[in-house]
Amino acid sequence: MRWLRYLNQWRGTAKEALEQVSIVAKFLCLIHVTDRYIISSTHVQGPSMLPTLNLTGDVILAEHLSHRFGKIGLGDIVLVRSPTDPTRMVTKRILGLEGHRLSFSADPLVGDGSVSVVVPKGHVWIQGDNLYASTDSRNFGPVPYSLIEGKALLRVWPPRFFGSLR
Amino acid sequence: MGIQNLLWQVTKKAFTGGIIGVTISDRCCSVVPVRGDSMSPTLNPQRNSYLGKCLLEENAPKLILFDPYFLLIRLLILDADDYVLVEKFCLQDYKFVRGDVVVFSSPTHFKDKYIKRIVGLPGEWISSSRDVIRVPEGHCWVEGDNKASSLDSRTFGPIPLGLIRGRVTSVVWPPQRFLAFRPRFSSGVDLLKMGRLFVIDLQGETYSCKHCHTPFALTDDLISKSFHCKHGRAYLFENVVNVTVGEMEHRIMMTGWHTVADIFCVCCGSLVGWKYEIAYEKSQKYKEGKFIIESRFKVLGPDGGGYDMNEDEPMIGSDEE
Repeated sequence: MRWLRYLNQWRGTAKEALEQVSIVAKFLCLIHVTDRYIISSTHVQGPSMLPTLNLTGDVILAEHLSHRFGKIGLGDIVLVRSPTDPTRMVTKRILGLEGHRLSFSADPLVGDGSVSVVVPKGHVWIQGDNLYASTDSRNFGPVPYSLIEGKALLRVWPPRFFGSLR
Repeated sequence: MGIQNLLWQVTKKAFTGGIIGVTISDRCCSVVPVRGDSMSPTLNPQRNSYLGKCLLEENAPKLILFDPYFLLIRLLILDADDYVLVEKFCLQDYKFVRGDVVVFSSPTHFKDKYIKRIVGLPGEWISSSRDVIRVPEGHCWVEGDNKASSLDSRTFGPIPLGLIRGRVTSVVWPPQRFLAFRPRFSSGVDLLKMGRLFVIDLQGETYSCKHCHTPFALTDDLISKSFHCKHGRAYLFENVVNVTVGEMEHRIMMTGWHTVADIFCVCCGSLVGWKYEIAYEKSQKYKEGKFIIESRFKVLGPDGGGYDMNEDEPMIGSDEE
């Protein structure tokens, strides 16, 4: 009869454990939805967006709503899945929407003749602010709009650079 | 009071259920309907059948379009679209193989999603209507099984792997098609032919890749067997096929400075040797434009075997990698 009592005790504990686990699971799902569809924080680093973003790394808040409604405009800083490596995300500025004609210098160091290109339908032209140290659409061409994953809102770290990104 | 409480409870439950559903559909798997017939007969086979074509609005005689029996039959046959299970675990590392059927966002209309088959992975060569195209890094070549009515890479070119939203694993509706979908093979069509991987066939005695048996060179094109590489013997050939040439670089060999480019098998991508682009010594100029294939580990001879080190052959013209 003792083991029956133990079983009852365990049932109570198990039920409570299951409840706690389900609360944690729901919380994780909420975090996933917020991170993917509303707003998220990202650590960005690299020289390609100097002087807007620092070389050693910033934490920025990015929102994931605008691109779903097609509200990405010229001059926005966006998070884009890299067309050369799908596991990486890159941060660049949009300098051309579909149908725009752009001319850029093929090699900014040499400074010779510029190339003119029209952005095809459904694509955007992304470019880093630091033309000398950025692999962007000048290297891999215009990227499809669907690769855009978020728009940068403001920088939260380091604290002395806190503020919106322009 | 009671109604408000009930409403609140229902809203809470719906909200929680919705969030869990979205998370599962983003991370595990989801069920999507297949529209159109670009993947017939693998998916939606009825649309491409004779009956299906007759039932299409543009093919049916005008008078019959309002007949209720006709509409009923049309509903049962044409609108019985397949529903497929799309798994999202592949999006962790984006590793796909040729033959995977994937769901991806359209590169031209960002709100649309297409379902097609991957027939070219990064680095492979695809022969399209007029020329041979190399699939760039991070991209893939997709084609529908029903070539006649499929909008795919033949129109919009290779797509970045980042556009892929999931991989189709099986058909879940209608239930009789549950086991009919074989993910890797397209209804008996040879996969290599379907992907139109550009491989040249050689007639006669050939040296071929040890891993995938792609032919590289004829024995007639062999110039010299007395070359050396890091791993052993290397053979100099007049001409090789089915290789991709890598970047040019300067290398010092036993016979002096050369500009060479590594060559790789087009089918499996393994390194097979190098090509001499420029030789800087006058005595080595004869090598320019010719190819070295490393024999010991990389190549099968015409008799099917690998090579032994033949000790008593003189080591003239030997080059080290």
